[in-house]
Amino acid sequence: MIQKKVCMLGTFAVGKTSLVRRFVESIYSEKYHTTVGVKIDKKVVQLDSSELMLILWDIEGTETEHELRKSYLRGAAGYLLVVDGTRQDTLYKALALQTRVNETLGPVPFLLLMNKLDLADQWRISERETAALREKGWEVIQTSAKTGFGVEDAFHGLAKKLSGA
Amino acid sequence: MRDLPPPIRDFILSLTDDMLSPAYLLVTASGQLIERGGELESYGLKDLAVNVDVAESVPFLLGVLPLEGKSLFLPHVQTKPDVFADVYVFNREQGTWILLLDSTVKRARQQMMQQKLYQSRLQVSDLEREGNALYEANAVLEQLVSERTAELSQTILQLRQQIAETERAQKVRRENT
Repeated sequence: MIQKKVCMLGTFAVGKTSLVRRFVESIYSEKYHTTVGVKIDKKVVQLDSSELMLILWDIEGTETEHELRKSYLRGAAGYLLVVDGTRQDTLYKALALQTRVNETLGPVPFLLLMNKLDLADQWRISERETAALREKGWEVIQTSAKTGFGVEDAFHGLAKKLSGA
Repeated sequence: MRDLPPPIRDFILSLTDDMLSPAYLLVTASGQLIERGGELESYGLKDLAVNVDVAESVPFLLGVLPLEGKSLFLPHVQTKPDVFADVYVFNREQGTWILLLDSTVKRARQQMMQQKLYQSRLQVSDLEREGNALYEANAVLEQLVSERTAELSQTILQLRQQIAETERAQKVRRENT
């Protein structure tokens, strides 16, 4: 079976680990545990005519793009860039991070996930900002690791891109 | 290290064994496993078959091999639940060596400090958000008070005019009677 390495990227406490747990184990915990280092999970994704094994690298969140350890990115076929919709600064940090990742990996497929949609009443990222990213050609998906909303779509969406479907 | 007397070197080696549980893999440039040894079981890496692609059974090596450059360091890689390793990958004439040293305790310490730091950052962020919400609510209240004050002033003015008119009318009535 074809295996593809996928990195979860974004600043701290945006929900990278929760998204992976929701996708792989279908569970969610309210308690925040910061990730130090990298946790690796795998899951087989069923595509139209084939299967793809995603090797998910849940990489520790950093405060700035410069703190990201490039060795973790090595060999990644794609990535999910995660922001917390209730913290506007996480979007700006993600944009800077994407530039650095693009310099390291080149133009590999990625999706931007606006996570914590269950806290929509505290949302701080405007429609205008999201529309501007879509105009740049970015695929933006709203997710909630808590409710599961958009999570399958996000991982399947990236798997499709990786398989070239 | 070479200058150290043998008892000291032996002691350091024994410390390394006890605290870092070293384990290794030796692979070809294309990633075929040639040799393995050390405390592989403590990392959940047992029964690795030689002459097969190592990335198929060791997920964290997918994409890492073949190694570009002299070496690569992957700190705190989770190899099984609650076990983390510092992973060193380096080329020598025999092939590519992958060395695993246990970092579970070191990582736990770092995690504890990081957790406190990030939680305090999140609290600051929450306070800022609440502060902004209060500021906005205060601005709305001030606007409301200002509108009500203007309305009241207008009402008082109208009442005074009505009183003046009534007094004028009463005066005219008194003069006519």
